[in-house]
Amino acid sequence: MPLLIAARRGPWFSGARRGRCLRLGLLLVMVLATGRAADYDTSREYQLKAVFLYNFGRFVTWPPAAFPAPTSPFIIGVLGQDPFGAALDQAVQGEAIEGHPLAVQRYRRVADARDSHILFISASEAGRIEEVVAALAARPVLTVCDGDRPGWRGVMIHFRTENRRIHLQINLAATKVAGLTVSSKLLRPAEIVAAEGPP
Amino acid sequence: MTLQDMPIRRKLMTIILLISGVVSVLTCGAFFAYDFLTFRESLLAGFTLRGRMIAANSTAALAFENVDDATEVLSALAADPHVTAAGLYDRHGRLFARYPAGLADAALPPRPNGTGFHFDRSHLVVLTPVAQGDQPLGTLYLESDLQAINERFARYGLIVVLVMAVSFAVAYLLSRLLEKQVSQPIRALADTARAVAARRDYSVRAPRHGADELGLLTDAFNQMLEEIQALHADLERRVGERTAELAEANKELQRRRAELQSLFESLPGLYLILTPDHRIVTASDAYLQATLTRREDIIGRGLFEVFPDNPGDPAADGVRNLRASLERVAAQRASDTMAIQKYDVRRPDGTWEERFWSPVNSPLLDADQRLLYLIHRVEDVTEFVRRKARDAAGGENLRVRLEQMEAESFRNSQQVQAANRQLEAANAELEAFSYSVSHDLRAPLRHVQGYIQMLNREVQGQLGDKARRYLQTIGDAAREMGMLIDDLLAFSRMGRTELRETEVDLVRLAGEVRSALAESTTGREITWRFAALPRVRGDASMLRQALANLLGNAVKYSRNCAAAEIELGCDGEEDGRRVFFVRDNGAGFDMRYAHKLFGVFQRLHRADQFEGTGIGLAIVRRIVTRHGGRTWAEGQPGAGATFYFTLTPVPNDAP
Repeated sequence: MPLLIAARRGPWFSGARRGRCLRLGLLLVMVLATGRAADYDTSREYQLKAVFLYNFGRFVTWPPAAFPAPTSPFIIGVLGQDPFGAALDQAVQGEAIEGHPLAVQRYRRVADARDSHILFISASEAGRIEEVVAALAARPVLTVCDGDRPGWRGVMIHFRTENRRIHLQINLAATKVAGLTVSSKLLRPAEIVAAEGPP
Repeated sequence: MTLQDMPIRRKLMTIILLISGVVSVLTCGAFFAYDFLTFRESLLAGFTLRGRMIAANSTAALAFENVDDATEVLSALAADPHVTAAGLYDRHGRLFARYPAGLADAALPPRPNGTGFHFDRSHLVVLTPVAQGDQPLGTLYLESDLQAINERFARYGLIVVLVMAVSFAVAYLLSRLLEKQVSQPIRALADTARAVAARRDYSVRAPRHGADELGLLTDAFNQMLEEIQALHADLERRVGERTAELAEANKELQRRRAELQSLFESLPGLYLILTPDHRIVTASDAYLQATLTRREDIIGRGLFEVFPDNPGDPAADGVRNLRASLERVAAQRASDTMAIQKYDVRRPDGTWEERFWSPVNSPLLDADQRLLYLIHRVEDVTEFVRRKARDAAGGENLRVRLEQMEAESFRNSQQVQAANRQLEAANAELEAFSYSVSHDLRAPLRHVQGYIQMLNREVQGQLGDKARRYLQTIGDAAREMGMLIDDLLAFSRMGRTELRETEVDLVRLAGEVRSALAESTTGREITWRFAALPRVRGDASMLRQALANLLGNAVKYSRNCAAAEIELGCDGEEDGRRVFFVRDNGAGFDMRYAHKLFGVFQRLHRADQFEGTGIGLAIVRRIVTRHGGRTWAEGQPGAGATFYFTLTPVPNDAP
């Protein structure tokens, strides 16, 4: 799982935790050796993330203009390669947020995703991330992505997986620009990051 | 002690303390209950609020499954030391986070059981739903001990005890101060009443404390005491006065009694006063001297015990004669003069001294003719008897002669007494005899009178003044003797004749008598008053005789009155007989001699004042006595006399 390794490189080689790193590395080798177990872990992680996406709808308030009608759907979109499989559809099945029925949309191009309310930007969009962020600028779309990569700073919420637990990073400035109000409750368990500068 | 019998002070205190105690217990109880409920309520409210806040803060932690955050949120409960356990369950009912961090699984329920709250014995449990908007995220379990409540109750209990103790103490002190207002006047009253009752001291007063009802009661009580005191003082003063008066009167009586006593004792005569049963009441000094006795030795003793017969003289009969005389006096209510008695006296050395006495015994009667005392009066005639004997002896052989004379004289007196006794025995015979003698005397007397008349006619003008006066005197004496014989005959007849009892109208008889008296009352102004009288049973001719004597006396003794008044009346009853009386306003008599009035030949007036034989009233007494009645008289010199007699009335005959 190169993604996870990359994500934890910095702190792990800081010297103080070398022993712990070795054990983790051993664990990773064992995980990678058993492909089925890795598949299970991955799907479990994205099941959680699908629920999280849905939960964002509860802690973030969209401007009224984001909904053409009181019953127009609340769209959770996935841009690029979908890592959720069926998990996202299962999570939103039959649910509604404040009268708006939940709907899942998958987009190839960012231009199509402008009307979505929550947009997960898949890692496959890494090459054009800045374009994507720019395209959605000033749109009331809550952008979410995995990890914490250079250039992805413009994305509003980052899932950061650590110790097999998912942590949230929120770019509060970006949400404000987009006209979204994030509940302070959401900020409690999340880590607030600056819009510019090193991660 | 029941409340009823308590002293009023303790009663008041008990009532006040009881009321204040009950009030403070009820008040404290009410506050306690109110506070208990309110505090439970506020505890629950606060705890529920705390749960809601924790639940609200833990929504994101649950939504994004952040255990650290959830634990951190729960750790805020550390501020409340009473929270013993807390648990956050996710929406599937799985335990997600706990407080305190190291809490054992067993301390929390495995699954949340609904929502809401409940108290158990020592804990309050609140289950709060955790939701974001309408999406349920899980359940918060909060458990608190009830130490806050217990602590508060302990504090509260202490305060209640303190408040009650203080209020009880204050109530006690206040009631001690205030009960005096009520109890003190009542106690003062009670003390006063007790003092009055115990010491009879009506001068004490109950102190007055105020103008309330107790003040009025005190005033009324004091006023009552004042009145009682005044009455008491008045009573005592009057008793004192009366006692002083009585003492004074008593002293006066004593003084007069002593005076009379000494007067009596110093009388020159020899007097002895006896009770009707012959006990010695007193004696005059002269009597004591004559009988060689001392007063203190004889007072109260029997007469014959003090003066027995001389045992050395076998012929002594002084005791017997004196006793007989005294009994006669008692029976006849009249004086009895005894013959000279030889009655020896005993000298103090026990020897006897020969003495001769001349005793007179008299009754002393009260107004109702009851015998009070017997008066024994004697004269010591020893010297007289001896001198006579000496004279008779002619001086020679004097002593022998004297003794002979004494013996003779004594013998004579003995013979006289024997004759007396014979005379008494022959009394009835004598009665008849005297009647016939009197009757027989009348014939020669009539001859005397007849021949005096004839002689008067024969010698008319031939006699000198002296001879005529002699003849006159003989005639008067003969006439007087005739009257005496007539009266004696009448008197004797009254004793002998048989009573022929019929119903007699006294008024009619009195009318006849008045007519018969008309001749002797010519020229006199006499007012006759005959009252309506009841008819009586009796002998009409005898009663006419009695009335004739009484009315005749009244006419005779009122002769010197300018306006004579003679009254026949009836006044009361005695022993079933009516009391009648004849009253006049004539010469009257001295009551000292009342007992002599009805005796034969007893006269209180000289014959040259009022003529008479002295038999009329004796006849009246005999007639009335024979009818079963009695007679007596009342009078006063110069103020008239009243003669009473009693007779048996005819039954059912109104006057």
